[in-house]
Amino acid sequence: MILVRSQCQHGAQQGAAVFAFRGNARMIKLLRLPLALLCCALSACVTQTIREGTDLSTSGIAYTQAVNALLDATTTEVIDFDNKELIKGRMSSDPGGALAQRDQAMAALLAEIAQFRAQTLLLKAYFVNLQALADSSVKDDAGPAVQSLSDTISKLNVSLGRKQLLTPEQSQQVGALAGLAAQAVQAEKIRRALRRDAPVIGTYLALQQQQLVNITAILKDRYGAEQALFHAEKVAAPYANLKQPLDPAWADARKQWLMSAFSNQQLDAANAAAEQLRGVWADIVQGKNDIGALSDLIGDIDQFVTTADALKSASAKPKP
Amino acid sequence: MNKSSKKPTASAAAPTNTATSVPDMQSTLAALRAVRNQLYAMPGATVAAMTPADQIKYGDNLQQLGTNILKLETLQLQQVNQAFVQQAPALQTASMNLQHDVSALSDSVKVIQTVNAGLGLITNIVGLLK
Repeated sequence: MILVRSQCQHGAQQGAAVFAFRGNARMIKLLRLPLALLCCALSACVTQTIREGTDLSTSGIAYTQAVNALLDATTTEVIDFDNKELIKGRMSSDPGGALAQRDQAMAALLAEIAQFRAQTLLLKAYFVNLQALADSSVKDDAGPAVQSLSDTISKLNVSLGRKQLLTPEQSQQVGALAGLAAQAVQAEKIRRALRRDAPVIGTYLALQQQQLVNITAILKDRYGAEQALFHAEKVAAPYANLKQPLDPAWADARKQWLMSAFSNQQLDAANAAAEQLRGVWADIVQGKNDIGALSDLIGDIDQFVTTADALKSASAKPKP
Repeated sequence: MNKSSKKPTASAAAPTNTATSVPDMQSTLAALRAVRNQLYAMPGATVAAMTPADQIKYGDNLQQLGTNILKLETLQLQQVNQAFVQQAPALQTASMNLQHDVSALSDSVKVIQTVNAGLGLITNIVGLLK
């Protein structure tokens, strides 16, 4: 990969050098074949770099959106759980004081979640700008602009009583070459940006990973406590109470509890995947890894959110 | 402050070291959650069968545990968020650099277009002078 990149850079420099010959029709005629070959090689390298930039930015945006959805799920869950807990512990020595304390503690937690969301949006803004660079239409704009410029120079030359510098066909070739040169500049800017920003993005992703561990731990804790309560009240207590006949809905309740426990294992897998995100990203920036690996991890985070929603729906079902 | 004074001393490292306080907070949080879960595992009917005094104790414990868990979780998130805030200017700069890169690309095309327009005007003037 490093060798290919080096060749790409070399190709880009050669492209710029060849482009410096513009205006000399004879030279262009002589160089037509090597020029065409160079254009093909240059185009392939440049396209690969630009595609890499597009893939990275698209994946980065998808990642931040997945985290944002996860924070939505967390916010909803912590508030719902807190309400249930307040109701469960209402019979206390100072209900008013306990509620005031709890309101304050919850507001502080939600403020930190909002702060994390703001940092995630900042990361998203970076990827949006990277995408704008990768999606730049400079190739499409520069080619016709230079072609038009060479036409104008030719016309001016003729107006001044000199020979026509370029035929319309040659002018078109110059325009196409200018488009490629502009695209090479664009690719070099992407390459430079990825190298330049690797430390700060790496640090941000490390912090993201750390914060995701905290967030998923909160979610797992709340689901775990809800499941324990559900099992105690809807499964264990009715089964142990031999004075009452067992409700037919008991089997469904037990099934629901077992299914929720299975979903919790999925949360563990998604959490482990999120922990690997930084390493995978670093590999991609260094060109060691396929972008597909990152897509899989983002899929896992999405799955995490889907699972969280499913658990929420399951616990909201009318209890037997 | 000289270089040697920056080295952590044995006494300074013991109670305030972040590396030791973070696992402590984690284990405290885990312990609080485990106790809270034990209270949660008591069915409502069992709690209702307790004496009023025990029910109040149960409620107080649940409230206190829940509030302490929230405070520790907030502290955990806060620590990482503070690190984020320190890094934010660097990320914003990186983001602005990218914006400049995009602008520079489109500006170069504009320069070519402007030069072209200027030359077109000169061509017309030369044509008129002939």
